[in-house]
Amino acid sequence: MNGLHRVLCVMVLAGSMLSGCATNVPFDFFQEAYKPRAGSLAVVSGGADDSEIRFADFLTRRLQEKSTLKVLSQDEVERRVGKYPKAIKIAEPKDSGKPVWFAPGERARVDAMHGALKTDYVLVVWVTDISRYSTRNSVNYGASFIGNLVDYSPASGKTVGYSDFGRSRSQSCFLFGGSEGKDIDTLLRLSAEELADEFMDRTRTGKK
Amino acid sequence: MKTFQFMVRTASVLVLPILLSGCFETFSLLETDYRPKGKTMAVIAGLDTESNVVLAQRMADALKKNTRFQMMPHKQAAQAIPNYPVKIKGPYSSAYLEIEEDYSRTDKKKIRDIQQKLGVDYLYVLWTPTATEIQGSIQQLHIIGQMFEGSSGKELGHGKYVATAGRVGGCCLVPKPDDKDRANAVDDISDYVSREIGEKMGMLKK
Repeated sequence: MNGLHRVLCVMVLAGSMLSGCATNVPFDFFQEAYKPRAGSLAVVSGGADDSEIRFADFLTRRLQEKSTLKVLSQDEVERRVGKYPKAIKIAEPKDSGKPVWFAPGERARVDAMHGALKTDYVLVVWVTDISRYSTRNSVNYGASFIGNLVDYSPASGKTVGYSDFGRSRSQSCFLFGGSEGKDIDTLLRLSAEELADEFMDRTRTGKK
Repeated sequence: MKTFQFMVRTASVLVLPILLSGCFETFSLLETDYRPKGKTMAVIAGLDTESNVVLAQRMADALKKNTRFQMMPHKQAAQAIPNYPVKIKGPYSSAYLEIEEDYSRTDKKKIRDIQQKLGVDYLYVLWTPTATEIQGSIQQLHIIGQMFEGSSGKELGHGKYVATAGRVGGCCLVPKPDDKDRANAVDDISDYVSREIGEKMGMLKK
């Protein structure tokens, strides 16, 4: 089992952590003065679990639809990289205000992938802590999302932005053909769209 | 009273993993009164993750140990399939906290191609699309498998199950499962499921 395990809890505590105390930054740059350029982008899933693959796909599709950036499809990312997704390990960031999630040595793996992707930017995303938690009257699902944007222009080559947020969703009525999978699918899609919209806002790359 | 509390705690340690892994039918045949039509079998991973490949290897070993099938060594199967492990679209609609199975979704064409390359009577394909963690001390690898017969790639049976590592206790000092615990969990579930397959296909070693 890899490092990015889903957390299955029946405790209300998990819910309160996700909705209350967690950082809420769908996307932001480390430096206020950072000026993004127009160009190309590849979204890379940091893990091989189903949720991460789907989250990266939802994010890619939203950016392709709404942004002026040239965004590679996930099929194209896989075609260029070969074995994809590869698990990119994460570690507790040294600076929680400016979190770089890559574990020591893992940025080099992203650089190696970039050698095949050849885009101006690589946005690596992970889904952590998918949970189910119950209150007296309801069942809810929650998930945490983290990410880092790497600028591969010759003058930069640095990690310039990050994501760190959690979202939750109430269980829909199963009597009408719903399922846990569909609920979590929706949670992943809405969260990916939120990240994409914030990304386009901060990079000023939304289509008019 | 203290003795009772200890018994309840011990019982929860022992019983919960069994309950967690026992909620699924690990292997069921699609036909009743099935009679085996061959003896050779291979097990392969349906995804290209390390955990999936290790599971396929352990399952092949367990089937060799517990059944009368002539198992193709996993290494040999891996060499016969170009770029193994390869991703094969699996029998599920989603796999987050658990696998929502849909056995019609499998990429049967790819399965047929692989089975023809391997030339075995039976091909057992395993997918491990998600792993979950409960309260930090129990880790679960969710597994779904399908058994195919002959070069036509006809589905013969299927099932889903969980390899559970770790335990719960009455306090917060229960350590997280380590690599050895996870390996043991995979061995245990492989042993159990291989016996189920052997029994239901009439090939269990006496």
